[in-house]
Amino acid sequence: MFRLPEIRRLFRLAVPRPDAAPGDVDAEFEFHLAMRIDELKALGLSEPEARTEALRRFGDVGTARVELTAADRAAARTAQRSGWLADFWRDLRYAGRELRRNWSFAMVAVGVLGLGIGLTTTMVSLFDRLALHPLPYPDADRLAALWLVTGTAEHSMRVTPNRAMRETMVRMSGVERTDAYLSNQAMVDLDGTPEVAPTRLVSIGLLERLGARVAIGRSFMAEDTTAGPLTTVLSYTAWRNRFGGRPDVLGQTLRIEGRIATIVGVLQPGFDLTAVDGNARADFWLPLRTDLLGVAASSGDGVRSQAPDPAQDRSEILVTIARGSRMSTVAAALDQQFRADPGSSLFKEFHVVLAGAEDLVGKSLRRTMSLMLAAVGLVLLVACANVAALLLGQAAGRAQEFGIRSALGAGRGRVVRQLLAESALLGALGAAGGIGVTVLMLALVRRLRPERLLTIDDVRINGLTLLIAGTVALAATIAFGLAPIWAVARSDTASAVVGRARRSFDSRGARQLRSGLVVGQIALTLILLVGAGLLVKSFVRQRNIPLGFDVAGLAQIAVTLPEREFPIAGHREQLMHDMVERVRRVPGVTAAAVAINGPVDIGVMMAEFLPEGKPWPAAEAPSIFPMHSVGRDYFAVTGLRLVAGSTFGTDTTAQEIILDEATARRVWGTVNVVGQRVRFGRGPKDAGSTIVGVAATVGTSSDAFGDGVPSLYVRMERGGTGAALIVRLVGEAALRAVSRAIRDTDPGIRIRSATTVKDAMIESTAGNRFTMAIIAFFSTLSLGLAMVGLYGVIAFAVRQRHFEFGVRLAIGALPARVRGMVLRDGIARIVAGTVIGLIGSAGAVRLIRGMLYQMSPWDPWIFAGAAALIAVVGVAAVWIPAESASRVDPLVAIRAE
Amino acid sequence: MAKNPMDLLHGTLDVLVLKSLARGPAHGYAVSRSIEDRTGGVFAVEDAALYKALHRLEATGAIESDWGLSESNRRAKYYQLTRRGRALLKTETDVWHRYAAAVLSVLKAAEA
Repeated sequence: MFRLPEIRRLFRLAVPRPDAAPGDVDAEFEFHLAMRIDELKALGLSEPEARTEALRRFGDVGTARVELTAADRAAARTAQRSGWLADFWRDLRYAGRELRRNWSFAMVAVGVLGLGIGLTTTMVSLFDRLALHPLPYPDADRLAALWLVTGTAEHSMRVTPNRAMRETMVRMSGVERTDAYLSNQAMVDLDGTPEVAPTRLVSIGLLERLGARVAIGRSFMAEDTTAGPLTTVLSYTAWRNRFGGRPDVLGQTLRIEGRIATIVGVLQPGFDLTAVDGNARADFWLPLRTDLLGVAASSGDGVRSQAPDPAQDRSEILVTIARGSRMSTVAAALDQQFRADPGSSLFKEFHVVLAGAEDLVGKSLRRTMSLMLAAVGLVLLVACANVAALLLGQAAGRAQEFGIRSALGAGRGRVVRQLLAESALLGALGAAGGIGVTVLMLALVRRLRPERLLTIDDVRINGLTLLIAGTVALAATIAFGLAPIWAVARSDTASAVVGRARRSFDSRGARQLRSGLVVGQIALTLILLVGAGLLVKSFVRQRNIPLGFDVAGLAQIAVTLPEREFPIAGHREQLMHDMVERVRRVPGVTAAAVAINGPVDIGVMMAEFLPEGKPWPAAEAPSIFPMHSVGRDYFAVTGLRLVAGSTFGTDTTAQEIILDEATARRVWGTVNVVGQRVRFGRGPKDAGSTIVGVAATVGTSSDAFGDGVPSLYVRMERGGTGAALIVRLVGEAALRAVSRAIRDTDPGIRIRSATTVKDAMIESTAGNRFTMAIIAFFSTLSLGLAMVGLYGVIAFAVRQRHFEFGVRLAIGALPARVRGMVLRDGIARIVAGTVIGLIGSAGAVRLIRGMLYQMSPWDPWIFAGAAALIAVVGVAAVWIPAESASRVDPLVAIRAE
Repeated sequence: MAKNPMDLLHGTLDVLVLKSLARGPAHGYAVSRSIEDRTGGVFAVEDAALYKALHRLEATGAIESDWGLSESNRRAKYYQLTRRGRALLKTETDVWHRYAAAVLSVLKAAEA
């Protein structure tokens, strides 16, 4: 009476679900009555008697029929909804079983997908933070730094307006408020051992404006600016690291630049001004008060005024424009007011600029980030194509299963849904893996990040990140789920059942699709490789610019002689002299000289100069050059060649200047300029200087100057508070001894930094290196993925053709010939991918043109190299399946068919 | 088949249907036969009512149906308990046991 459940299960798939197909109720009744009539007839009733009795027992057929049909329709509507869900769960469970059965395939697919999703999510998180929302503050779109800028776009100089200007600005319409801050290093003494720590001085209300909240204690208040006891607020990190996170720090005192400061609060973690000025995170926050300005000056580069004078308050200014105002309108109004101010006459060449998020972060960073995003997008595409090809191959292996199911009546819709469930499951697992990859990648990026991109530390996985991972997973699911579905839709039921299933999946269309996916992967990978190759070559070129000086063994030690401890200029001069003498005697030191900064540091000082008796070449030509203040031994110690003239004379009162070759050529068109006179500034005050020498151009490059930064050299001012010791060492170990010698000269001398010049140069190119490393990483990854894909497709094709190879070998084909066939097959795809990739690259490299150092993006060697790499690795990937094809055992292969 | 079948108490039919499906999937006719056989013909279930019960139970999700082939090779609609149906059967059975026990105890007390 009850059938075997197994048989029923087969038919489960046979009939589409909607339960209320018209006539269902009739059919059900008919069956019932027929069965009843049979039963009654078996009891001996005649046909008409049996029919009457059956109808009598049934009751009111008509009413029941109407009621049930209506009820079924209503039920079907709800069932369709809940049924879908139930089906979905069933599909999902089935998909889970399927993946467990093929766990190695599942691992590869989930791994590849997770990698793709993870990298995309990482890059989007970075992009969101660094390029789209670089300023992590409330109302960041109304926030701007105020600069006074002069010069051209490629060659500019900026200064900060003084406090008087700042105070008038607040009263302007369009400006909601202004805040000011100064970032610097200060001597901090917690327990008798003073050390240099990053500090920031902030105007009252700045912390609140930027959304900083205190974890414990309080923020600054108006009374903190009066000349009473000094107060300080700790950063969260400083509180954890320097005070062990103890809650009783409030009220404790420490010495900052020799002054006693009371801790009044601790900020919540994460807050800083790093995003605005790129300076190090502050450990100690101080109120911006007049009597502290000397602190800022003395620990700066040593050339600022040391007097605590309000007019000299050159703190950085942050403007918050009023709601509804436009940045450009406010900037124009500020500029007008600035020109009307009598105090601005000294700066008549300058104009007011409001630097919003984009200017603060730099367009180059945004460009770099966009490029990385594009690169990671390519990797994701490769990963998806890879998974699609994998799934397609997998589907082919299951063709027989699908064939049988559809022969039993399972609609294509049913099989498609099953396949979709499988890709959805893969997608979900991939997304989960992707989040794991993101966590790891962000940790890695944090370790690799260049110094100036401190804000990378703030990048965390957040709602947006998760949303993106989810969306990418969904899109990827649909994208790669479609490939096998397409193949199923084209498959032929009958052939599947009679055992030719595999062939049905090896239809022309399916083969082309798989082939197309691999070709696409190769093409995308090639684009990445070309991009990476160009960036590496550009980087190497940049590294190999002739420096103009001898970098080996050269070190620079930046020192400060704080005015507070050494108030007399003569004393400072004497100390500086003693220090150099001591350093020269250190074993391992062959020479030492003083300067204001190291040979590759740019822009510490800028100067505008004019040749006397000669019109400026063009009004718009840059007249402001980086200026180096150097001792007379500087050229000898650095090995910076003098192409004409000589170094400064021994008469320290003589107004002498040395130009570099680039500047001389730019202004005079020749290097024979010794004896010419120049004046600084356009005012009549300057008496003018005589050119005594022309130095080789230092071969550094910067965003602002491009190749070879033009430089001026003036004689080092005596008795200054800051200097850089330029030291020639035999071994780098001597650097520590040099630092010791400096401290021995006088313990009050502070060493701001001690590094080899080479390291200083590496730091200056860290941004490029970071970009290059990331792109190179992506392209390597993509190459690996594409090769896995190529291998998979060829290996699959070989499996499909086992029978054919068997026959060929059986009738006497040489194994080498079979191997050749497979190789040709693979190579055709490699060639197709490479050609498409080369064409794509030719267009895509436009994007990185601006990042390349003096080279065309259409570098034939790079293109050829990338193609060759693809070819070599590709052939290797094809070789393995080709080799296995040549070793097919004819007997086994033919019998298997 | 008994001459004076008892009228079914409201809700009884559902339990009987669920119980007959507990043995495995069956079509409506089989359910009808099963109820008649098991109750020894005490309950004569009108077939129309049985089908209403089947469809009602299906609408509540206690049973589900599918078309299949019968033993006599005719196309028939098969019903089968769902998980929810099984749970429902269990609670309804408990309720009936308690109800029957209560009625019995009253009747026994009356006899004594």
